[in-house]
Amino acid sequence: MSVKIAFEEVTQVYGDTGKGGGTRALEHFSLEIAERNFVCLLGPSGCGKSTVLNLAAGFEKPSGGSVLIDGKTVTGPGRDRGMVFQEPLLLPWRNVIENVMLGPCLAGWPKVEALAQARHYLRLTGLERFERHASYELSGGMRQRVALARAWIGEPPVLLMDEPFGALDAQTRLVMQELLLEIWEQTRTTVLFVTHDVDEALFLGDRVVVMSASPGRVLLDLAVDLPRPRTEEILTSPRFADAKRRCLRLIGEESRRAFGHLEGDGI
Amino acid sequence: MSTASVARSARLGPLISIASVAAFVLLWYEAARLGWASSLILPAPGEVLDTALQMLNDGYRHVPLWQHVAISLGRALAAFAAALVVGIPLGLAMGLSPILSSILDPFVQFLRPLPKLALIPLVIVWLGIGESSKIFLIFVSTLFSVIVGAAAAAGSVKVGRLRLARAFGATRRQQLWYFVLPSALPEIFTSVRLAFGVGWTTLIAAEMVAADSGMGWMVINASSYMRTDIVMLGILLLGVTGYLLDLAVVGLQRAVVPWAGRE
Repeated sequence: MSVKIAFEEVTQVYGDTGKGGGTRALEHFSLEIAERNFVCLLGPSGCGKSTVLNLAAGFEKPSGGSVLIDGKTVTGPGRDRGMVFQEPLLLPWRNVIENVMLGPCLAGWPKVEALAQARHYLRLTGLERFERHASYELSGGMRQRVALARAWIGEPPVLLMDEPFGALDAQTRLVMQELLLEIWEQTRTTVLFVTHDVDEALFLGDRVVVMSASPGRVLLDLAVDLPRPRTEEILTSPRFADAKRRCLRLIGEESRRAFGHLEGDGI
Repeated sequence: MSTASVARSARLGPLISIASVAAFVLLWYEAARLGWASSLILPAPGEVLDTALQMLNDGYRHVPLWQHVAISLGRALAAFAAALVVGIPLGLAMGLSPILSSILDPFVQFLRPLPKLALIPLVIVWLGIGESSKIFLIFVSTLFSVIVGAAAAAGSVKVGRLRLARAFGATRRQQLWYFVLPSALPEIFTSVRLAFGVGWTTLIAAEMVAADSGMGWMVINASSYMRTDIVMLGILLLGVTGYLLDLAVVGLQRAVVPWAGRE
């Protein structure tokens, strides 16, 4: 399978970069994501995982190294990459269906086609009865479903998701995760999904890439061999428990090694 | 307070307000009846009511009462409309362009807090003593609050929303129309409301400039004849009209930006 997203020796420094100053968010970060893969980026807050996503989205330019999509350097944001943010970021002056149609509107699709596609994705996300509702009248989970439909409607080959379910309660989160997998099975978009939740990463991903903090780099790269399609039941299965145990053990080992390495450096 | 008790006091709110106004009028009535102050200093509510009824029939200085109200309202609304047409685009442009902001900001910051009464002699020299000078004074005192409010509103669009715009490949023009302007609307309404309040207070000053009608002029003219009852009637009319004007803006705000404060 071909490589869809590639980070090559990416370094990202914030603030005053002179004389080695500034905050090093990423250092020599390399990662390749195959087409149609669902990759979860797991790590503690402040480890630079959102920076990785922002680089792929084109919101930021790397201080060093390069970020490639389909082998071409990312120069800025574009419609080939759909985004779902932690906040739904719905536009309150547009109702539900108008929010879903935002991308098509900006891209100048014919109205009929935009409406048909929007209805299709509202059906997929279970929102068909709410298309005329004001966005600020919806619950948090429903808002995030609208955001999901809005990101998916243009069928971008890449979907970038920044802890999209982080602000939801546990029950709603599980429903949203299942919904996400259900739609993904139908579209097989390449997904880069940022999270700090081990269960979420294992449940969703084909691969879980664990990051360590300051500076951010890849600590561990795990293939998740749980069968698809995955549903809620798998969360309580022995296979899931095994995978989680293995993942946590490796994270523990790698963290201790990384920490020991830092101590060796004289901290 | 619990949510239930907050909701209950919200329902009771209007009733409490009506009761408090009634209590105030009663106190005023009693103060006049018991002769706490002479009727020159504090005319009784009944006296003011009588004056109002009489003026409804005869008008004040050959001009019907409704016409005084209408003329003042007309001057204020003309000035407000001009302030919105000039102030909102200019403020938004300043909020979006640091260069334009740097050019205009010193003038705006100098003129905004300036007591507008100080401009009266200049305005008379420039515009004469007709309607235009009165409208101009109200316009000037409204304009700068609108500009400052619109400039702040233009800068208030959230970073996340701009990222969303860029993620969808919005052009600069689309960013402005689809994201920045609608985001700025609730705050623009708030600043317009405040600006109208400031502008309305300038009405008296504006009608000091050689007027022969209007609520502000009525108050000034009556005071020179020691007609305290007419002065109080004028004050009541100015206050009530200003209040209704504010309610109209709030109603418009609810209709145009129903999401304000609910995101």
